[in-house]
Amino acid sequence: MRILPVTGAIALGCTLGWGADWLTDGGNSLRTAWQKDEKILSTSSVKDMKLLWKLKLDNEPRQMHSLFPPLIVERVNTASGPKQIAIDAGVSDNIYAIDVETGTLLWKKHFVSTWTPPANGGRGGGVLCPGGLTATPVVGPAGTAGKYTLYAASWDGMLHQLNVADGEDVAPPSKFMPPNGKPYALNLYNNVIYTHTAQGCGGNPNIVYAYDLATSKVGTWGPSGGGMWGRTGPAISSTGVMYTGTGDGRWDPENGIYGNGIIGVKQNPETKSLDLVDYYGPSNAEWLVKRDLDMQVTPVIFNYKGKELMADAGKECRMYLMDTESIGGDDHRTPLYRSPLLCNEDVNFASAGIWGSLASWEDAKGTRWVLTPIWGPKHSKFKAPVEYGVVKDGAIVAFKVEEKGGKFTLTPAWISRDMNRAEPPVIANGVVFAYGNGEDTDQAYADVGLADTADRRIPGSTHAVLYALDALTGKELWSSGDQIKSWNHWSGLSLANGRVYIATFDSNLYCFGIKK
Amino acid sequence: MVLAKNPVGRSVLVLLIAACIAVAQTADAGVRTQALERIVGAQRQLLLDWAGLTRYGSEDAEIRPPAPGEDRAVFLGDDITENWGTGDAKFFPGKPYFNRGIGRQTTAQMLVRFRQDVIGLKPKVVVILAGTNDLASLMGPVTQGMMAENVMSMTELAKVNGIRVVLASVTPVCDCFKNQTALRPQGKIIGLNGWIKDYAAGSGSVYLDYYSALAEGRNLKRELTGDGLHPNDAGYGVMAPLAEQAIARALGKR
Repeated sequence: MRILPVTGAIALGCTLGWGADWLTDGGNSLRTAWQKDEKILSTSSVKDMKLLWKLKLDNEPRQMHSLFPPLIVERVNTASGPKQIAIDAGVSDNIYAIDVETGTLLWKKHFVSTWTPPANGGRGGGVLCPGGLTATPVVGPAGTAGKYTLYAASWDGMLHQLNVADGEDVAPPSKFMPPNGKPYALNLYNNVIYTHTAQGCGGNPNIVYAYDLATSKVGTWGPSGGGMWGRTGPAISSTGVMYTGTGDGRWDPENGIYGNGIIGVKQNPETKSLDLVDYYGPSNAEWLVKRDLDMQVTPVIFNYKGKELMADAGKECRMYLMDTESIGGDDHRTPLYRSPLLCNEDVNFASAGIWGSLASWEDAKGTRWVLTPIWGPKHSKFKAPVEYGVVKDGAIVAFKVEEKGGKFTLTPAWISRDMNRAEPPVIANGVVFAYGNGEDTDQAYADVGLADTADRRIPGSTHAVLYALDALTGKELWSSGDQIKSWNHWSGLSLANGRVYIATFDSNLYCFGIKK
Repeated sequence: MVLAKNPVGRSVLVLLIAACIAVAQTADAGVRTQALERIVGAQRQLLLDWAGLTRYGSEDAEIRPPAPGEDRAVFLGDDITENWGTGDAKFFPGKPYFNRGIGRQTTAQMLVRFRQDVIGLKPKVVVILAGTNDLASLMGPVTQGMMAENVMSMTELAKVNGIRVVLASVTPVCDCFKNQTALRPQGKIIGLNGWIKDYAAGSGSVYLDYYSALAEGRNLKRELTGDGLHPNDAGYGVMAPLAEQAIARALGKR
């Protein structure tokens, strides 16, 4: 007779206690962007989503960068009690901690640099090298319940370790990389922080960096051509191999050059150096580099029928499915599956193709899904069983991972409604959250030719629109309409505990959710 | 009738007629808009990629260098080349021949993509079938002199890269199905072919005479075409052995 109340109490306790975190860009080190612990937002409740709060931060945008996707820590022990905290990084070397219940600022940290930046800000002061903090930080548990450490790489190349509760240093800043580079979202795996750089900003080579927290040793490895600029940084497999796409560069592995491909590197546990352990080059790599079609997307890693698979993509607008045991097969040029073109029929290097990162989740029936954003019109020959009108500016495309007779494929399932420059989606409890960023992505113009400048692109940008889609069908369930007043560049979504976060160029952080 | 006699009914009728006209006009405007959008889209595509470099660029990059002893040939041309193999008549099955035809192209466009689509593939022979769209001025007015310079440039590019050249005659047209001779006057085709034949002889190229095999008098044989301009499967059946012979001659095997 007493079993039921006890069971009920346990169930209630579990429900209340099962909070969700979002401690790293892309949700986890595999970069699946799948919030498995979401309980509040669902296909039935999401229609009631509202703007809960909007917070203007004092971060000064640089070029087209402003705020990065926030990290969410569900329960942090602070001096005023446990709090759910959002940590948002700003490009001007700022870190903000926000109480998500109230949408108020708890603390701010500005990294005071000993390095004097050049007058033009970055490599040449252009859009690609904005200077400042460019990598979404990462949060790790600090060993004690309710205590967390934030790891952030500042403009001067130092690694900072802050207490999430109050922003105080928990360790002195330590050298991570040369100043004025352009690192991408940090990934924490087995007490090592990984990132990679691109665009040769600050005159620095494009390199993978691994900071060993136990020894403070930094391991490096470079593809000798091809910056690595996956939006959510590297993805790390279950065996600790760090994968990333390499941007424009020659594919010549015989001579140690790995441009326009995908590389896997692993930390040597003894020396803490990084070693190349696997690589893949698309069979048309020569075409990709000639037409500026970088392999610049953060891969996603997931399990499927006992295998660890990885999907990746590039500006050409093709999907690749790989086995992490050997991503390119014996010849390093044969993935498990290579899709037809999903978009970018015009071979446009600026405003079409796949940009950012991917996502993956598994539904209740055990079907494994892979999702990608696309920019620009859908390819005229690419079809899915379910589509929602003409795709002119971008969309989310969902695939099912399938295996028949030992052959793996990505089978198109649905293509979403049109979105103005669709950005990497996040999946939670059967709902896909995605947004059109509203950014003017053009880099070349009929009147002046190539002019990839913020002065031109900022006035041409509009505003972001956040969408909630049914993850099984792609049907639109909710939209933010015109509630978001600005656009964003190189940011993303975060999601935890019934709240979806999106930051905009004007340094506002928006929090959407269901009002209690 | 009842409606028409009743003042209210008359008003309803007038409104219905007005609505029908409005719907018809709207529908008509919609069709016109769609047609204009298609034209603008095609023009935009042409502006972005006038030479058609994106048509085969990715495929070209995936083709491995020829194996030792491989007699690789590239067929460069327009719609007549591109359509070859799209019907029941396959494009030289089992042969190391690459079709690099692009519909509506002129010699100037082919010249621009010659490096990517021909030289880059490292063939022993290139078969150039071009000129019919120059004659039709599909990309703006073109004279025979302008076209000739493009063909000469392609031939010279091939030669300096060790590629032997087969220059095909422009194929005949007929008005069997619709008027084709207005855009491509038959006399101009004959004149152009005369120049191609002479230039082939003078430049050490092989002249491939499709015209004589496809024509009856000045007309493309009706049974070899579906529209009076493009060969059908039977037409390609006539052309294939001629192309094979020309390639063999270029390779010095005949």
